[in-house]
Amino acid sequence: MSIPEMKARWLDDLTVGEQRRTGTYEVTREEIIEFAGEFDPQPFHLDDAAADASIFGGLCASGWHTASITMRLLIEGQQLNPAAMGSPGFDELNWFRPVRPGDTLYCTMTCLSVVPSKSKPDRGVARFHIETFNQADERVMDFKSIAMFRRKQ
Amino acid sequence: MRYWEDFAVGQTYTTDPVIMRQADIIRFAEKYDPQFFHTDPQAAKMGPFGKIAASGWHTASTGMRMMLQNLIRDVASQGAPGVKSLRWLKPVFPDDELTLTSEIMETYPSGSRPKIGFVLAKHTMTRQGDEVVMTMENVFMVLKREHAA
Repeated sequence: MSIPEMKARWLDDLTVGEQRRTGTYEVTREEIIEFAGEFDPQPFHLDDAAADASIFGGLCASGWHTASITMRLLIEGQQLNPAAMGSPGFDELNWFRPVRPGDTLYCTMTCLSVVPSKSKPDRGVARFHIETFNQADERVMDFKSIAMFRRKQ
Repeated sequence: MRYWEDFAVGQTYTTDPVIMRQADIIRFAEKYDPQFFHTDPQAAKMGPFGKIAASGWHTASTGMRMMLQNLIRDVASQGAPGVKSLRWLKPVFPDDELTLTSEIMETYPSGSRPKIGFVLAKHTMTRQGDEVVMTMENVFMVLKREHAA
């Protein structure tokens, strides 16, 4: 299999303040239960009766499911970027409100900073504020993503 | 059932190993992180890791399941408000044997919600026993014993 045609977005092409918005993702009840069954089998993610009685007042998705859906939305529709060098991680992830069966999610991605590496002139680090919203434009999650990019040589 | 008061600074929890399978790597990534180095073993040979590797979010989600092995097992959990920080230090490859060690760093009552307390934990995920692949710091919420249902 050949690697698809790739258009490079170098560190130097990123602009602080630039914001992008993703498409949408509908979160079904079946998928909530399937994900939670595999990764986060706590009662409030699996069972209506337990969820109704819990702090969440009803069945809701695992926060890690919301994060994984967010990753899907960020990847979708993006040209594969050969200048991207992956992410070493993230900071300050917040789960603000429950994600319910039938919610439709979308994300925004805002460039917070672009810092060329002092020790390695061929690369640098960009930070992005990722925010995930539901269909009522209520923020359900956010985090500060760290991503490494090559510089245009 | 364990409550907030049962957590104490300095406690450590280490899980049994969990094996990351290639089929699961592909299945997760096709749904949530469809980049070729997570979904295609052949193409991944030319990718950044030299072979197929798990999505970082798959590794993190696996960490959540591992926390439920002992740290949050039989606990009056009230969920978590978020994650302070997470770092993916090395790629996780098929057949890697992962272990999670968690240490309680701090416990404190909620100022706004008298029935719960917070527990701050630091986690280290290793493969094959000693190579650190992921670290994480998070806070989770637990019901106080006096408010047991």
